[in-house]
Amino acid sequence: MIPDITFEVINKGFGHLGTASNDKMPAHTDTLGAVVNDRKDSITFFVRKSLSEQVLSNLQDNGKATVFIGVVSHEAYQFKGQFIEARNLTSEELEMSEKNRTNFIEVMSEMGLPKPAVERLFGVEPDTGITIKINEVFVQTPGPEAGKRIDT
Amino acid sequence: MIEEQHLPAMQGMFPSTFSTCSKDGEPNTTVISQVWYVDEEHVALSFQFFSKTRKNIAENPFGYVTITNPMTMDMYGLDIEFVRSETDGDLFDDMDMKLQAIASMSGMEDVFELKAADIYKVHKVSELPL
Repeated sequence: MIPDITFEVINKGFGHLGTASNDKMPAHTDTLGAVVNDRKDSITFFVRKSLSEQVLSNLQDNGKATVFIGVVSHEAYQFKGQFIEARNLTSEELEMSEKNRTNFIEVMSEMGLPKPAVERLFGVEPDTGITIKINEVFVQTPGPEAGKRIDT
Repeated sequence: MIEEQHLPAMQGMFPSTFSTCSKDGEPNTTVISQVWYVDEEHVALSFQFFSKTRKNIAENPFGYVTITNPMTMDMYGLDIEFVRSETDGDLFDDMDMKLQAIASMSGMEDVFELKAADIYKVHKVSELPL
């Protein structure tokens, strides 16, 4: 079971999905939203396929995945698990992503980054869902607890 | 390898993402505050915590890091390989000073501590197709 305390970060944060090839070369892609699935044992991460070709290839070969997700407050978690599938996103998932991306664009703009630039990355909707069965969760918030495993 | 156009993405204004892989093929991904330009073929990353990243690099020296130009959001992926750690000298002092400034701005003064400047050779730079 994915711990409840991580749900808000999963739902509101943006992440980075890491993989490795069979010859142990790492690659990652940015996630533009995510949803915990009904059984609370897997997460579907929303990505842009055009930015995720190596990651998708690695997942087909190796299957091991790690995802760092954080929010502006620095609260962050690392999820480790096994690739299940890559699929198209539902309209509900696209709506979730749009809400988060719109909010993030505003936050980034208020921090002084040019809005048109931020929209180049976060204004484009994701088109692929990568589902990972989660086996381990770790605290990644900077500080003494960083790296601590959370019981799942 | 590293060209003029890449330098704005290495000023620490936008966090970078760093992925490594253990000897068993287990990936790890984390966020780092800055990738430092050393010369056309090398970058430096801050070593702050004894972490999975550090363990992986000891087992398998290859990493992948993405950097972002905060003014345009142009993103670049760098295939890198660990070369050595520096614990003193001009580069270490510059990185330490910048890290403390970032820590101060984000209320993390007691958390961020530079243990070493890790030098990596850059094998390839790719622009991500936004």
